[in-house]
Amino acid sequence: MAVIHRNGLLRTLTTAGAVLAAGAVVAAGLTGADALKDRQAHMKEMGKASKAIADELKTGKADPAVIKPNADKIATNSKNIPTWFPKGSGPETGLKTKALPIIWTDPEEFQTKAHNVQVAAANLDAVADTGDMAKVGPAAKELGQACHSCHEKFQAKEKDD
Amino acid sequence: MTAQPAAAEATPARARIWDFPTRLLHWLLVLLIPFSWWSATHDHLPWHILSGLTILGLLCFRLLWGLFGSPTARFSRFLAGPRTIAAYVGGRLGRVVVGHNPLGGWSVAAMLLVLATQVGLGLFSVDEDELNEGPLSRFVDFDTGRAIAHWHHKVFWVLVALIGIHLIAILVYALKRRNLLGPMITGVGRLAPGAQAPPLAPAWRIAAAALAAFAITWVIAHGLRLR
Repeated sequence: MAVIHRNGLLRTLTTAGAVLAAGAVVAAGLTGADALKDRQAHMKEMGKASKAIADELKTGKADPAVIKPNADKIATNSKNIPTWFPKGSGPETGLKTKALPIIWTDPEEFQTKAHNVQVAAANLDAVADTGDMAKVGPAAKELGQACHSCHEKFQAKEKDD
Repeated sequence: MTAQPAAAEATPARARIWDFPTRLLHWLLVLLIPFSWWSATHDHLPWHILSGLTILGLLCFRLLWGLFGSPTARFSRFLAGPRTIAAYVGGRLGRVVVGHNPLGGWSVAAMLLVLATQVGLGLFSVDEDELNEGPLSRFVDFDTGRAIAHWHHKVFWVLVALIGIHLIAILVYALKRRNLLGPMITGVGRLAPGAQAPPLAPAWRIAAAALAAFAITWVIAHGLRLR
């Protein structure tokens, strides 16, 4: 009996927590599901821009006209990463997501890693603007490592989806 | 079938069934397939790509060896039709088999085909961090490349299932007192009475196939771009 009671209490607390989290999201003007979808769209946009840069670099004679707008797109997007993860926009939405709960339980490290991406993206953008294509490769690699460092810790591996 | 002397029946004839390149290729795959899995799951993607490209080279060689290699390695010899397979399974095959039997031949073909699919998917895979993408990923867009990477994860388990069947078959034959492992190590196996020892392909053909396989792999590894 006591066990059932405790379970009931736990469920009540969990529900209350979820309601509070959802409340926080609604206060921000977005539902958790909306924030999740927006986030995925933005991430994909950054991925596509990164691939455009990587593919262009592989030609051996990268065209600044291709590199610059894509580097700019990544840098602009990266500034907003911290706002893409409001509470309630994780797996609790019931939607397919690789965002791990640790994003919200270890926000400090998450913000640090997100900030590193922002710095690397700003650097790539600045390097691209100089027009020196020889330096774009190393800067793009640094950005990839910053992306990977965050994904490694806060994103579910492929086998989990 | 000619009559055999009594002494030959007591100790069946032994002969080289698998040539050196076929055995080397087999054992390299035994090492590289688990290594590919380990390096992918432990975040060593540069090693994973190198391992995959080595497997690509081995597959190119195997394709050439299946056309121009020693008789027991040739597709034309070990890929049997449905009637032959049925006869073999029913124990009604009226001839002695040297090398892959009609069922085992298709098991090998299935493993090679799935492995080739797996390597092919890896070549076009896109990494979302753009750090370690397949050498041919520039030919597909981001979404396609991500979908291919997803299938690259799934097809691996099909390969694992086929390898599982392969291992079970070896075990079943071992229980029937047929040693399949020994000949794959030494090349030498027991010949059934009346069976002819297969001839081996000459060394120059090994060298030619290896060179061609290396050249094809090199071009693919460089993204089909000859700089």
